[in-house]
Amino acid sequence: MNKLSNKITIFLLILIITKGVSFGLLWFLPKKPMTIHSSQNHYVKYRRVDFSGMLEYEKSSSTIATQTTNITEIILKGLYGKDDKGFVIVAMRSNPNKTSIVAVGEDFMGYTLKTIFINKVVFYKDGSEYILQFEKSKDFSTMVTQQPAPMAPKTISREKIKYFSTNPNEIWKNISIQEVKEDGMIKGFRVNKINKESIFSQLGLIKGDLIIKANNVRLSSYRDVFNIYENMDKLDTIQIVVLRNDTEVELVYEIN
Amino acid sequence: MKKLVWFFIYITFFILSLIYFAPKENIFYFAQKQLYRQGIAISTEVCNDGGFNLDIKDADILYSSIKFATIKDLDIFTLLIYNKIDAQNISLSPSVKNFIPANIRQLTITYHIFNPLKITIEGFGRIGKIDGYYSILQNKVHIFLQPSNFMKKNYQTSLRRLKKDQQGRLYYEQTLK
Repeated sequence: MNKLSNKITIFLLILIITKGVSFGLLWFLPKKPMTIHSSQNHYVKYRRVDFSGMLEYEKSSSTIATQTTNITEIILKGLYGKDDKGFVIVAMRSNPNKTSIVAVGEDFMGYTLKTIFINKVVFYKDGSEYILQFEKSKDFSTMVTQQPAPMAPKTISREKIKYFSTNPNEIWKNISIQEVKEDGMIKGFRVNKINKESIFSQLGLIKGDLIIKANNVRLSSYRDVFNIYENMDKLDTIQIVVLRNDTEVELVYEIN
Repeated sequence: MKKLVWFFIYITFFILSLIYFAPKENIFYFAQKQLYRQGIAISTEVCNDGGFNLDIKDADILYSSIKFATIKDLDIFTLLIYNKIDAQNISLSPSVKNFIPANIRQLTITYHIFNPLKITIEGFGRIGKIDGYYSILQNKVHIFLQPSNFMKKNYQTSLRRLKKDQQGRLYYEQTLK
């Protein structure tokens, strides 16, 4: 009986010791699980702006003046955009300092802006087209340099994006990319090989380009690349910055 | 002799009660922190201490902050001299499934005292049969793959990236940093 009680005491003692060790461990161990932070936003920080909604007031003023304004009374002060995208800065000859911004498709003094060219714009009124050019004045060169027509963003279809994201092998058939490290850190991804017939070439990438940023995220790890890749179907714009001949070149693609 | 037997009984009881009372959830949180330093993160909401095992549900595995996989049921079992991690229904993230099939039904990692220098890895799923080890001395992972017909048909490019041994078995080898 005495032996049995001794053994039970030893077992209980062991339990107490192990429980004590457990409490001791608990003191040093973390009490809560780690919080894993969500990845950064990789959507582009700027987007192309549709001026049509913003410049509604121009329509009301134009309807009042429709009957009285002649195209020769309007002067072109600046332009931004190409073809059917963009806006122009115009003013009345009578008050050249009071400028108005008119987007393509909007009215100014009864004239609808139809097309933008490199140094002229086309307005439309009552079935006729009116070309408005920069006047050959001192202002001309200044205005062109201040407001250069940007390269229109290239477009890529969402179907194509979906196809490549589900068939990555098709990507590697057309383009070969390799990480470039500097001081042990990924500096970017070098385009080592590109099929000239491929969509990647058509989008403006060339052999030797070092892709350093995508949608304003510096590509310093594979995580950054995967974040873009995984969210590709949710994006409506892709902006890529490449280092080409030691110059940063920005390529912007709109996903339709 | 009888005293020696009782000594072993006490020792075994001590080890078992130590394992039973050990704060396994907190040890898991500690392991989580250590793994995070290596770039591996395990994100989980449900963690149950089952006495001799730790049962984790719906664990997300991230590598370099890229979500790599979700494990429906992760069971960690330890007796110190025999340890087993059993992962069931592993769904790989969409970005990974382009390279290997998205579902691995079971993956078992075992470490025991009779083979102290190797951690064995076994598994199966749509990928086929996985069988390999991690060498503690060499710090190297070596995994053989018996690809399934599905894998052979749909993931030929991935299979081409694997090496072949003298018996013609496909394997993946990687030395860890």
